[in-house]
Amino acid sequence: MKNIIKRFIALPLKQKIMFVTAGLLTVSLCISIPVYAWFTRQRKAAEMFKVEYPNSLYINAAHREDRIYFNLDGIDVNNYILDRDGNIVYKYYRGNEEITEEAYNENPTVCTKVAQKTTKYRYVFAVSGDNTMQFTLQMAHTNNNLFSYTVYAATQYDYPMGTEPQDADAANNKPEIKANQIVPSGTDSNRIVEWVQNADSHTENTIQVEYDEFTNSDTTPKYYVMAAASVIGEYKNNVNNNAAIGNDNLATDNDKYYKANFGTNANVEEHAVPSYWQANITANVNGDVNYEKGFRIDSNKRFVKYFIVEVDCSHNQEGQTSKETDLIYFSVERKG
Amino acid sequence: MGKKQNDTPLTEVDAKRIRRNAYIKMAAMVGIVVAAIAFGSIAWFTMNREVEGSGVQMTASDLPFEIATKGTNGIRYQSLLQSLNTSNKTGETTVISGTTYYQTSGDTDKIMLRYDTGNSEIGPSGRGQLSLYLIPKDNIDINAKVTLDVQSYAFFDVYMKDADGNKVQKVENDQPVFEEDGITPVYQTTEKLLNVNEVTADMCTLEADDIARIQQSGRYLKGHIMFFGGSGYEDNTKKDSEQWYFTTPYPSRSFVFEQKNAEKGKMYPIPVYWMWPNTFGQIALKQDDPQRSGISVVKDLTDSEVATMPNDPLTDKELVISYLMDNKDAVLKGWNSMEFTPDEILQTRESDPNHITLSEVVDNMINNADNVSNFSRLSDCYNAADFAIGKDIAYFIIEVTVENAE
Repeated sequence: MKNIIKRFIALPLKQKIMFVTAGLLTVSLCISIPVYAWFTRQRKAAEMFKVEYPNSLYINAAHREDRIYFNLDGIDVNNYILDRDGNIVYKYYRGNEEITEEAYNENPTVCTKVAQKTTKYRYVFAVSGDNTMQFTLQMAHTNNNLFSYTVYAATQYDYPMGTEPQDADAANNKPEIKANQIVPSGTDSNRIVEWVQNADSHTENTIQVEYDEFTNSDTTPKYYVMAAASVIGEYKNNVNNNAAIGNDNLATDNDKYYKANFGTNANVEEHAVPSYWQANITANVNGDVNYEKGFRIDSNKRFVKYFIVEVDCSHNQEGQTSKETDLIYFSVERKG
Repeated sequence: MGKKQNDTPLTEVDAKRIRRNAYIKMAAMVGIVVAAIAFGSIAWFTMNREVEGSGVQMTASDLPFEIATKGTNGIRYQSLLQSLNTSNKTGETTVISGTTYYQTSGDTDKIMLRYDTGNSEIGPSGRGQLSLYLIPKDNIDINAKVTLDVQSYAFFDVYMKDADGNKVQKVENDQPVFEEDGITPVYQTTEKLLNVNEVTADMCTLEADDIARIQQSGRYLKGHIMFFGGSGYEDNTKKDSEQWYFTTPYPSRSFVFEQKNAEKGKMYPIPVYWMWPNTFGQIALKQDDPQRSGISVVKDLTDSEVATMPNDPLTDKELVISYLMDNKDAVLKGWNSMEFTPDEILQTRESDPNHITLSEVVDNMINNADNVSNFSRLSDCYNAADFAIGKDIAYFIIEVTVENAE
């Protein structure tokens, strides 16, 4: 090292400058070549996309109206069933045997007549969305009233039973009425729920489904027909998941559902622990057109499926004299 | 070692010479310092942060090709892309057989891709093909390495800072604005679209854990967008189970594009397909299964292929399944906090000499995704990640880097 420095110093000035310059240029070459080579060794391309907001599932009232219109009201255990003329419907008995009204009228003193109370109330709700091929429908309810809740799939019709199909007639302001828009003849009237639309009721869910479009100003009634069989689902957390709700069949108090709701609290009244019922609903694919179990997807990958929840209050608590309140929640989650 | 000096006084010429030497020495020193600073700065400025150095070579050769794009519908979100990064260019036009291509060049090393058809707003089940071409500069063999990346962007309320770098308090009607407590100031912010990985808590109104959550959603998006090299088999007269979208998955998002005896100036399409699969079943299920909603991303395995797993070479389906296992953190939200069965937990007990990690337990679940319980739990994790992406991420950019393979 010392020898090199000594020889460098001994060089004449001109050569010193040449030496330093040559050294500097070499160093600069060493840095710039890899930098330049690195810089020119790549080509890049970019493409930008927007992410769709994941509002792919909605629960709404009938005909996808805002949820405020989904009202489980009017459940009056003292409501009497009325016939078409507004008269109370009776059932007639002689002893334990049921008899006809004529038989009763012949012998009113030894027979009894019992006014029939409404025991089933039916409410329509809608599940809709896009890009969903399978969802889980969950119903969670408390058990203070010991009502039983059953969910049925429902089909929507635009015209009541007995309407005649007709062609469109613009001159006389007559719309086209197709046969598949009319409630099929022979349908049990107990399985039909009429829904009068509310104007401007689609503020939460504005997606249009091709086979079921809505118009904001439409207030004509829609008719929902309950399917024959209930939706296949099961309670997840009752003492006996296969039996009806009753005093001996309430939600258990030591499983994950209880823990999620109440943590380690042990003093929750047993009727207040919610029961959870779940069902998996899958879209119809590959040309299957029976939509009772599944649902139909339109060409934009959107769907709507209607359900009716039937509340049966015939076996609520015997001798119950005070009003009880229950909470019931419906939720849907994308599956698969 | 100094020379023995004479006692003669310095003449004027001597003094001048001494001064001149001093000046030369000083000039030389200054020159060296300036050169060092200059070259250091050039090196620093030309360093590209976005580039992942795969090894620097001392060859001064230029890239033997350019890349190009074409599309009648133009560039998606062009103004956004350009405002985000000024190096995003439209490219230089080249017309070949009546079609206009836009390409890179020595000055333009990054272009924005174009498209003919397809949605610009993408959610789960979205897919597309990049309009990407390679143009050789000579009649040579092309051996190009293509790397793909997905970058996520979201809107943040960024603090506006003054010249000293301090946050500026909001002023309304000449009065400084405070929070409800009257003490904490409310600062001026402006909404900015930023790469989620470049955001820190001091830059914007979000807390560190919100930013971390958003960055994780960005990783979920990168994990959920899968890349492929070829299209599969689609026929809408057939059942879903008889179709598949793609072939040749790229689980490492990187592949080599080869073209022997390439012609100078000819456009060679580089096939790159991408998809955000809608459901977990489209990726993980090896064969037709009622649990699967939608068409599989790659071809299902035949019974004999299942029996001879692992196959040599690995089938497309095996590649995507191992992609899931290797990228759990970016594909399945909450995979390590699923509801594990007592048997599964037992497998991880350290007292067991054959114990495995939770990650390996989940890998076994993925490998047996047809089991109803496995499928349900894993699928929930996949959907939860999708939901997080949709909530947190506003835009994403697919970026392609093409360089010479070694």
